[in-house]
Amino acid sequence: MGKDTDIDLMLRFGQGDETAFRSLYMTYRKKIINYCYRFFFDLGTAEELSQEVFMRVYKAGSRYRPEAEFSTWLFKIATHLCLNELRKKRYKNWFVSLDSEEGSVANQLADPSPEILAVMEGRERKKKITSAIRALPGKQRAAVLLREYHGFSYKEIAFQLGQSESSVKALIFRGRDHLKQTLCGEFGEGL
Amino acid sequence: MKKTCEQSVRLQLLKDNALEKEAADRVKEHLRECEPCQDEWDSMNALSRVLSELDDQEVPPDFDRTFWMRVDEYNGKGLFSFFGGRSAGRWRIAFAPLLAAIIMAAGLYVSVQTMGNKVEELSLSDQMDLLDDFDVVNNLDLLEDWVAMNQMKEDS
Ligand SMILES: [Zn+2]
Repeated sequence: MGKDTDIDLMLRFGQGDETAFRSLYMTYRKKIINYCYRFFFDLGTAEELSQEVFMRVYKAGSRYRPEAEFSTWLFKIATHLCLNELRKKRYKNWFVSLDSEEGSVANQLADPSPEILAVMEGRERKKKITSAIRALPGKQRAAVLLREYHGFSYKEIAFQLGQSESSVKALIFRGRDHLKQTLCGEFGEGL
Repeated sequence: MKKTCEQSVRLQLLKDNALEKEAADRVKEHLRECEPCQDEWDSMNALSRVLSELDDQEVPPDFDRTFWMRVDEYNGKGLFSFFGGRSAGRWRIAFAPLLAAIIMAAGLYVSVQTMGNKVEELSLSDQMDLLDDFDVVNNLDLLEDWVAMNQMKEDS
């Protein structure tokens, strides 16, 4: 399905065609959930925010005017909600330890099998990637996620963040640099 | 200490497809013969590979049900949401004066029944709240008529 069709669908929804909305919802819900999830690494928060994103699209209805590709606009709504949520959550995050739930399993098993070791290693890696992303300031985080996981262009990200293209370049550059610095100690691998 | 090259900032633009073809070709050409840039290029790609290790989350089982319930609620399958939902734009205009008239009639009825004793209880602020709930504040002229009517009744 081409991206232009998404705008058509949204316009049709604006004229009262509910199935057009359903189709957009089905196409994008998983992407939006994953975007919000990688912002906070908390499925509950991701669910809540994603629902709000689609409610806003639904409520926009006939007031929708295509000022960008539909997906660009959709992720703009998600980005604003995530940044807002981050502002609200910031002080909480200082006290949340990522190591709280797991990590100690290795110590509990006297002689873990190679399979278990591999699983644990995979989990450890993911946890480190997770905390590296979570350590990024909000706009850097948004810019890197939109670029690396969703393939938006600088121009689109500029629209989503309400920043100039050159600020977006700088945000992505600094964000990647941060991630490399945090992860190269753990991963090596030419980072 | 890693060696750096002043061209390396352009590598990000190449990676992110943000260069015109000609400029992209020049950077690729440079990349072939510059070791620090090759390191930087590998490092950027390694980062993308590492980031892709985070698997996609599946849509949580209750997600759709909860969402469509919210839509239903907004759309008027709840008692009050009818007046705030998607259909509201079309229906509010038609129903608001009717609703205001019903409220006015009810108010008048109560006031007549109680011979004015209890009309104070059904005070203006209560009416305002009620009207607010139903988003009929656009019809303030009707409300003002109602106030005027009560005023006249009190005077007489
Ligand atoms: Zn170079």
